[in-house]
Amino acid sequence: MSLWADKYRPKSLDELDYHKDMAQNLKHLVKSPDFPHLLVYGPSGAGKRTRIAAILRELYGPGADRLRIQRQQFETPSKKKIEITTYSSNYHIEVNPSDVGFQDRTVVQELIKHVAETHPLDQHPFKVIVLQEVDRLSKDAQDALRRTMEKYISSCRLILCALSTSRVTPAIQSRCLPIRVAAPSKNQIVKVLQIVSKKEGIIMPLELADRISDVADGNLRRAVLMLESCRGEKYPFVDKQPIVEPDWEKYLRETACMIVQEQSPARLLKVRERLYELLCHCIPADLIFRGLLKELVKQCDNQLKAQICAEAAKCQWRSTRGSKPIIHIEEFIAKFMAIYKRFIEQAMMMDDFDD
Amino acid sequence: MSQERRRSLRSHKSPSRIPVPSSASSQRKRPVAMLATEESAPVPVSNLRQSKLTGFRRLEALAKAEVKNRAQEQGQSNAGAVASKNFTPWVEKHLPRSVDDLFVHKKKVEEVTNWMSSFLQSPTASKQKICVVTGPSGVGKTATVCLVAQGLDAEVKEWINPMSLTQFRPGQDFREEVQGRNQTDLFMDFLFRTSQYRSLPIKGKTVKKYRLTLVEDIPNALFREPNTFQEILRKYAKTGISPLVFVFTDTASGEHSMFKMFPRTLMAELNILNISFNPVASSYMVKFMLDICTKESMPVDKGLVEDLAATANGDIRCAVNNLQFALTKERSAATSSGATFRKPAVSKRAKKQAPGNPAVAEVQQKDDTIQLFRALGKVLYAKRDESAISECEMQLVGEMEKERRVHPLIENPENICERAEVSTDTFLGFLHQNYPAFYGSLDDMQNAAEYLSIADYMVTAWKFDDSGVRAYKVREAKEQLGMSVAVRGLMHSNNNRVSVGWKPLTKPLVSNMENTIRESTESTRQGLLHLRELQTTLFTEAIPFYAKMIQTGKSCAELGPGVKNDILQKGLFKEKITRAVPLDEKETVEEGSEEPSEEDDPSNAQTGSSENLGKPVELNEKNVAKDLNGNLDDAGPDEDLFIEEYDD
Repeated sequence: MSLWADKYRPKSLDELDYHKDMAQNLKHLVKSPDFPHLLVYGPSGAGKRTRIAAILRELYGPGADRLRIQRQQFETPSKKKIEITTYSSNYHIEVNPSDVGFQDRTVVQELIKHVAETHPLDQHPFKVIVLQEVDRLSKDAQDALRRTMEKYISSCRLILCALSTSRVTPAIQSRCLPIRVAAPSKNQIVKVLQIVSKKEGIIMPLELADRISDVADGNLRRAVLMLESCRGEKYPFVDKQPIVEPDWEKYLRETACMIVQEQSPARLLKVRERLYELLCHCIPADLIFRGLLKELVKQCDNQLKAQICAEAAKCQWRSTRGSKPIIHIEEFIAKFMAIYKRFIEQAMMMDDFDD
Repeated sequence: MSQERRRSLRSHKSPSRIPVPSSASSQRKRPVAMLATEESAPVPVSNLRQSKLTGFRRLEALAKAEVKNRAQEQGQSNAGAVASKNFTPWVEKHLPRSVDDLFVHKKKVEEVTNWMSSFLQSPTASKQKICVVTGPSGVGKTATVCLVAQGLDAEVKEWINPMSLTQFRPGQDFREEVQGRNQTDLFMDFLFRTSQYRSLPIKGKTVKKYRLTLVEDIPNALFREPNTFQEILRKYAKTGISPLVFVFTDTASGEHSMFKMFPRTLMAELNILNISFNPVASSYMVKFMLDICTKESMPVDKGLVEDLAATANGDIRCAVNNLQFALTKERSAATSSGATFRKPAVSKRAKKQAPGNPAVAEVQQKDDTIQLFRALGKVLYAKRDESAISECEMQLVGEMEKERRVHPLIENPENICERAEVSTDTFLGFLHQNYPAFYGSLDDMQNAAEYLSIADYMVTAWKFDDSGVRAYKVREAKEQLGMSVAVRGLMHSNNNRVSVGWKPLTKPLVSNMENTIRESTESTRQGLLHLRELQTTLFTEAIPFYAKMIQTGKSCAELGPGVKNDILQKGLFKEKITRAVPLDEKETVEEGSEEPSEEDDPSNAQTGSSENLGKPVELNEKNVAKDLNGNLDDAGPDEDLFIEEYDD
């Protein structure tokens, strides 16, 4: 039994539920003799990987679906062994180099070299290497990628997958055909939810689908997961059925409330505990930043918003470069507390004047 | 205590075994010594225990030196030999003789007993063949296992790492040596043979009813190849007959080799039981030490005993050794006063220097991080010379005016960093962990946080920017710069320091947390590889929802229990667990009732994280919470580090 999100994932380009124009274009692309490197980007849960899988299927037939999970070992120049999980079929290999942190350069180079050194056995002119989360690659790795991409163009093609192009170097962008997978609209999500519930044989009120697609915020995988866990929670569905949300999001919201309630060093320490808790649950610092900012901005005065966003951006940028996210998140919270407190105090003083 | 050192101590006290030289090359050895079994004579434990004495060598050396002094005075040359023969460390002399003597939490002893008896009495019914006992050093892990085994009439066979470098004798066939077998093979041999054959009843020794295999030193070669080790375990789980116990000491340095050797997935797969011991509560230690003193008929100051207990970090072996050391010294100083000229003078000076307890000051061997804490104190208290006025060459105007400090700092920030004797990264972690307690105003704190953040950025982000030969120098310079920013920033921004005496300093959770994350991402991902999710989406979407589904009772049959627990632990937060219907009502109630009694066992981060293995979720969550709260608010005595010199 697998999750519905996996079970009802469209297998081929024809089955895709939305962005059908793009699917047609991709079909033509696959048929054309000159298949380029691809850079697929778009927000989380929009269907990037589904499309990549569909492209591979279009290229190689059903054989591309048979995946082997392997642990591959690479050796860095400093003789350190690193291990990474790869998913591969006879025709392609998929890997997420950012799993190994700053050693990603070795993985990118060695893996491509390894795959590209041999030509494919059958009639297919090239193999495909799928690299996930290219935007999280270090600068070194991206530079290495650029060279290798050119060198082995005769025997392999790369499909790169990224959340946004902003952190992919222009050199790589210009070597690929960019394909933007936009997030599905609300209606599209509702449609997909209806299809899934029909296939599962459950009755889903339209109102629930509406609400789920609201909360899911353009993330289809989340929407389907929510539907599935709502089903687990209570079925048949009732009016005002509560929508299941991940615990960490609630936790983060509560944390934001704590920050707004009181601004003091002691409170910051309390918040720190909660941040540790979140980080220990493997929630990435980026998402913590985003979640906190979203909640905090909601609760403060308009004239503070710009300043707070600027602080958040600064801290978040440093946290991507630094090694201890907690320090940077904490800095942001301290900054927010200081700004907010000053504002409140000023407002109170003004009130006194008015009286 | 490091593996090697412990082993060398062990062999030192057990002449029946050939001494072990250094570890790395121990590859060849005749199987005889390897099969050295722990004889179960009347006091089986003492053999074992002898080998583990922490400060034992020092003690013996001290005693010998002491006797020598006196011998020289009296002109008796053979007195030294006599006295050193009579010398027995108290740790060994006052070993627990029965389960009741143990200073281990009753629940833990019960756990061990339950497991062992259920396995020994019906090996086929019980599925838990392997058990891993973890805990800090000197809390009685081995003693518990051995005593419980003794109580159940089981023979304990212990693996002792064989050593290489058997002496080559002329005339011996050289090839015989070359064809020796490696440690791994010997270890396997040992495991499977001891579990199958009982020892022969030689020389009127009674053969015990059951057998138990104990491994305290995992062969070094296997530490480098955890996979091989896990294969051996798998094989043992299938074919082994007698129960197998691993005693694994938590290392303070966060080596987490425990996770490397026994990953969570393996624990679940082979149904390995993990029993983790807590540090011994200091009240127990005080009681025990006072008992010893009455038995030894040595009058002792209760304060001294309490101080010793407090500095021992829950390590009872260390505490008793220190006690003996302190008392021997005091007595010898008293008896030899007047006769020798140097000795009393020294101890008088010592007394003057540390008016509290000179013995404690000298004996505190566990506090080797004093340099670090001095440095931390200097930064965090940021004392300024009130009598001097700082000179400023530049005129600070406008906004800059508020950056002006009237009095200069007493300490030069760069000097402090140099003296800390830890890496920049570690020091930064310590600073970050401890600075909020010293800050009174939010504005100051915000500045400090920014400085820290910049420092972290400078230290890390620049690290990988350049490569090549000269990179090392460059990196070093950058680290120093980053450090400087952090230290100066913290010292500079603290304008309204909270003025309360000393504050306990705690060790940073950051590194601990990083280990937890690394370990759990690895193990959780391994369990859920079929999902093919990226790490981010796995932990933010798939696992939280999965957890919800498991919670609502939707069957996830294809997931193993270990993976399920993992998911629940990662996907849910503690508040939710208490509010929602707990998975197992009984479990929560039990834990709740146990809590008050456990409160005197200070549980530190180490125990918490090791307890996370293979236990129900409620417990895990509780521990995580305990870790975090415990470290931040009221860390137990073992976590506190006092800086009394910097009192306000």
